[in-house]
Amino acid sequence: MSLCKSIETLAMAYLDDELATEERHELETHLADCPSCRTHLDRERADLSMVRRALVAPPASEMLRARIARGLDEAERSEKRGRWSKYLLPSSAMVAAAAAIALFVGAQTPMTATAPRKSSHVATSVVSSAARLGRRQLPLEVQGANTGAYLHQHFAADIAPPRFEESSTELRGGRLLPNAINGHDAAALQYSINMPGRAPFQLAVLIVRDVRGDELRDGTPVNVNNRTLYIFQTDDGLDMVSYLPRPGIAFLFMAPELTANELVGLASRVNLVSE
Amino acid sequence: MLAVKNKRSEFERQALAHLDALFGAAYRLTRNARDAEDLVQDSLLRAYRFWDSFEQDSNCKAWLLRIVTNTFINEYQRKKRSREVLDAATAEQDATDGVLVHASAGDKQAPDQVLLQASVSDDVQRALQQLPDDFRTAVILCDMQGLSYKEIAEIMECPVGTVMSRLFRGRKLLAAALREFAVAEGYVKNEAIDLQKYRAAKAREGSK
Repeated sequence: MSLCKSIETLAMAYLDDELATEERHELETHLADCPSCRTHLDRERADLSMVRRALVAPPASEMLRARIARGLDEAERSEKRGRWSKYLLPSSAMVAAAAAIALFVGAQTPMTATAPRKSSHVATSVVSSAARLGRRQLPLEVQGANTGAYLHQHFAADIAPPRFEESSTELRGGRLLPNAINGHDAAALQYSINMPGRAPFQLAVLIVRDVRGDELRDGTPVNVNNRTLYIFQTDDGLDMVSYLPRPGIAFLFMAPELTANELVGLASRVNLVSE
Repeated sequence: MLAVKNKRSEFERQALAHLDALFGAAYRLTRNARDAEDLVQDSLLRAYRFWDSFEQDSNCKAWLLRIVTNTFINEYQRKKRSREVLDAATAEQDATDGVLVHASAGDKQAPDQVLLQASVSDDVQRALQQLPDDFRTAVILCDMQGLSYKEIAEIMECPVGTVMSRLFRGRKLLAAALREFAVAEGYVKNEAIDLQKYRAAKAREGSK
C-alpha cells in the first residue's frame, strides 16, 4: 500500500512522535523516495513549529503564587478546624481559667521524683498522648511573668519558658502535667499570638521531661537554622512540631491556626536558653 | 495511627512544580491573564482537596491539566457567557494585563521589544479565539503541554481518533489565523507572492 494516500495522518503522528518504531521506519524509507510526501512533511513541520512558538505563554506571576499559598493555608486550616475545636487549651476556656487563676495542682504534687519509665515507649504514644491531653480543658496554674519562676521551682531548674523572636507572641501562663505524656512529666505553656491581619490565636508549647530521643524522632525531619525539627500529624489532623534541644527534653509546638510550615518557622528561631 | 506524611508539603513538591505550565494552559484557554489566574487558583485548590485521590504513580501534570480543563469547561465558559455585557471593559483590562505580564516576564528586554511581544501575543489570543473550544483544548494540551494523544483522549473523554482530528483541524485553523494576523500587522509581506503583480512588473520592465 502506498503511504502517499495516508500522508496527512502519518506526517502528523510522525511529528508528534506517536508512530510505532516499525511505522516510523516504514515512513522514513518512503520519504527518502517520495519528494511530494517530503514536501508535505516539511510544510507540516514548519506550521507545527509556528503554532508551538506562538503558544509559549508567560510564567505564573508572584502574585498568583502568593494567592495560591494563601488559599492552601486557608484550606489546611478549614480541614483542621472541625477536628481542632476540641483540641489543646481551648482559648475561651483558657481565658476564663486564667482570669480566675485556678488551683495549684502542681504545688500539691511537685514533680521532683522521676518515676521508673516503661521500656516500650514509641513516638506515636508520646504524640498521641500530647494530642489527647488537649481534648481536656486545663486551667492555668500560673500566669504571665511568674511562669518562669514557677517552672524553675516545680518542673526543672534548668528550663525556662521559650522566648519567641516574634514580639507579637506573649506568654500567658502555664501549668504542670505530672505523668501526663506517655508517663513523662510535662509542662504546658500557653502563648497568645497577634499577627497583623489575623485574629489573635493561641499557641501551646508542651515541654516533656525524661523523654528519649527515639520516642519523638520518627516524625518527618526538617533542618532549619541548624536545628533538627520533627513534624508530626495525628490522624485527627493536628500538626505538631517537636524539637529536642538536648537529650531528655522535648518541646512540642501546636497551634490550630498555624500550618506545619509556620510552626517549623517559630520552632526554628525560638530561644530556649535558660536564664 | 499517625499520618506522618505531610499533605501540604507533598502537594507543593509534586503539584506546584507545574504551576507555570498550568498557568500557561489557563492563559491560552481563557485568553486573558486575570481569568487564567482565577482558573489556576480554583483548580489547584480543588486538586488539593482531592489530593488523596491522585494516584501517586501516575502523571501529576496530566491529572492537574484534567482538573484545569474540566474547571474551565464547567465554570469559566458559563461565567464568560454571562459576562459578555462587560466585554468592552474586559478587553481594555486584558490589553493592560498582556503588556504587564510580558513586561514582568522580560524586563531585561528593551521596552519596544516588550511592546512588540505583547502585540504578537495579542494576535495569538485572537487567533485562538477563532477556534472551537475542543480544537483549542486539544492543541493546548498537545503543543503547549506535550501530552500524548492517549493522555489527551483521557482528559477530553473521547477516542484517540477524535483527538487527532481535533488537533489536525485546530492546528490548521490556528496556523492560518496566525499567518493572517502576521500579514495584517505587516510582519509578513504579501506583495511578493502575487504572481500577477510579478508579471505586470516584469512586463513594465521589458517595455522600457
